[in-house]
Amino acid sequence: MAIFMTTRMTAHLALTLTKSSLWHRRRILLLVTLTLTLSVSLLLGIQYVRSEIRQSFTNTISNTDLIIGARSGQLNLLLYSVFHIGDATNNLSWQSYQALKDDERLSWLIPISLGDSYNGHRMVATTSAMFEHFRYGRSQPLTLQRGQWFNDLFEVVLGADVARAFNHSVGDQLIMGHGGGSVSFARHDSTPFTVTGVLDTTGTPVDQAVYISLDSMEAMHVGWESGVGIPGRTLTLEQAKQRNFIPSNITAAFAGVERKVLTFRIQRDINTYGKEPLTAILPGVALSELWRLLGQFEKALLGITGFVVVVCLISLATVLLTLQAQRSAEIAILRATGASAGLIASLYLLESLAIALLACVLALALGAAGIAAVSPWLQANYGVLLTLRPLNPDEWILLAAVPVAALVIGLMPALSAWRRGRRPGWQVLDDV
Amino acid sequence: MTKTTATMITPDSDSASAPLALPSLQIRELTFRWQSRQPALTFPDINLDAGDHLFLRGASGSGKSTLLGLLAGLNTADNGDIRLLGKSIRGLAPSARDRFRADHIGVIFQQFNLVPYLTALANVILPCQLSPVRRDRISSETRTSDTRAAIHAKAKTLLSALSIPQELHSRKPAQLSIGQQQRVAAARALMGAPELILADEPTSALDSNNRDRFMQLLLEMAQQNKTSVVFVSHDPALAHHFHHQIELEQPSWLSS
Repeated sequence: MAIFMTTRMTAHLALTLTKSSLWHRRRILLLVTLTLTLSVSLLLGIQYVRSEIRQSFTNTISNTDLIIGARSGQLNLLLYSVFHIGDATNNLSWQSYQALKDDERLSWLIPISLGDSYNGHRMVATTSAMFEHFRYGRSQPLTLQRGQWFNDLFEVVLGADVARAFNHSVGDQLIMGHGGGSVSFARHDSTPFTVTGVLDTTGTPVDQAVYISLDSMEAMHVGWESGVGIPGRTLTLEQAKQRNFIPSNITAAFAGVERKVLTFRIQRDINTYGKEPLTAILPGVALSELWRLLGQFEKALLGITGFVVVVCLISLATVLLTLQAQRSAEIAILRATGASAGLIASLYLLESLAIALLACVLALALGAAGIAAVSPWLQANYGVLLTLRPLNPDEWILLAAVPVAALVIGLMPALSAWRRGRRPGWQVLDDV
Repeated sequence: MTKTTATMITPDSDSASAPLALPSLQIRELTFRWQSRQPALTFPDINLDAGDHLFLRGASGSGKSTLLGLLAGLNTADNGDIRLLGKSIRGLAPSARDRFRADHIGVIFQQFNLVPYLTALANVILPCQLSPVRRDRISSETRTSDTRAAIHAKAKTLLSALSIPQELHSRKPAQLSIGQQQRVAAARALMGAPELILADEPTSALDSNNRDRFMQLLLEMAQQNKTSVVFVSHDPALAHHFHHQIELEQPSWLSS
């Protein structure tokens, strides 16, 4: 009982002393904690963002068996058709598209035509097949939060973020810019579009795009053959409705295959198509190539972060050992007053543990704030959705490694204090 | 073989007569070496009765601080015996020596006596947090059930008795003068009435006024507690305060 009381008293004393000691040296310790916080948030942040981005990329397209475009690399085709990153090197002729449409092995086909933009948001010309067959995430279809899919000339459907960013709703009139980029010098002033619907949020590049029909795309470019709209030669809505538009080419097409076992054969047939050089890719394969490419980059990034953490832990060790030198007088006093070597050791361990735990909590707060701040920008510019979620087991292990490492570092001065406790001097002033 | 000689002077034989309690300190044939290849320091035999004060004088290198370290149980002797309050501390395990020191010994250093992040009052209370024995001594003395309050009251009384004004009790050591710091250290050593106080040149950084005041207050209060004081200094002017004095001689291998 007495021993138990004494142990409790000692534990209480160790905590009180640690608290006062930390507070007394708060300025230098705060700097140490901040350094550690930054490296922990860097390490944790990279791990977190890595898995989120992978998830976000994988979620972008689903159920599409083949993506078909002009002859190019599969990454390029994947990036411009799905992620709206970069531009097509060449187009797919309307004849080839018709030939694909006649192929009975394909159950559905979505044509897309890229080029223009609305205030920096990609304009995708397509058909109602997009709304019917396009899937993302876990086979989720596109859904409308307001209005309906376009079914006439000069009608536009907005991605959720576009509608939110410009506060548009059904019925609004929009002027499209000519070409990509956030600032268009040439604008399709004479052919305003009417918003007919707004899509639900998908967390994919769909949110960042606006959708019109292929016919509208053709109609708005009549009179633009020279690259700028020549007044008087562009069409009004009434004039356009009189005419029949057949696009000469499109940018790419998404396809669904009736019998999945035939996918590779169809791919080969398209790649060896005699009338036009075409490329067909499997989105899953292209994505994994993307990961292989990014994997090296990720590894380098993780390696650098690892070094940052190591440097930080070494600086933590340096500071703790330096602080120990400053504390030798205080330790001599405590020892002389009857503090055991174990109590002294526990002071060191508690100190580094407290710093590490504080750094972890701060890093979590910093990380959450950082993700909340950066994610709208990331989604707006790169179509990558970063969500705040609880940490996964891997990330918890990374985080838990920090106090463990700090304890190991704290063990160094603690051990030397303990060893000195075993062969001590009278008043230790300069013996570190 | 080197030799350390000692002279023991007993100025008035009445005060040393008829001890009622166990002798606070007995040393027999004590030797110590810091490193195995060094020649050993040898110490004179000492017998100090309870409540008596001893002045240890000697030049630097004569082993004054080493002897205090041995008495405090912070160093272990190579040979010989140390008995404190009748108990041999040589055979004790390190943790038992720590326990014994916490319970029965107060220590005052030459300088840097106070834990820098604790207030003067908290520094004085420290021994009671490390030793239930010293805490119980205070609570039984005041016959109150509130031990915490009793300890605080006792610490404040001690500080005031050592001329530390009330408003300085909650100050950190850095805000106190050297003289005040040393008196706070004396209050801590006296706290909970340990049987033995070891003081290692506590007055060396003080001017003569402060020094005399310090000596007077320390010894007066030790007298009240029946605490023995072993006081190390190279200043012969302090010898008259003590019942006994011993001079440690510099070992010949150091002086040559």
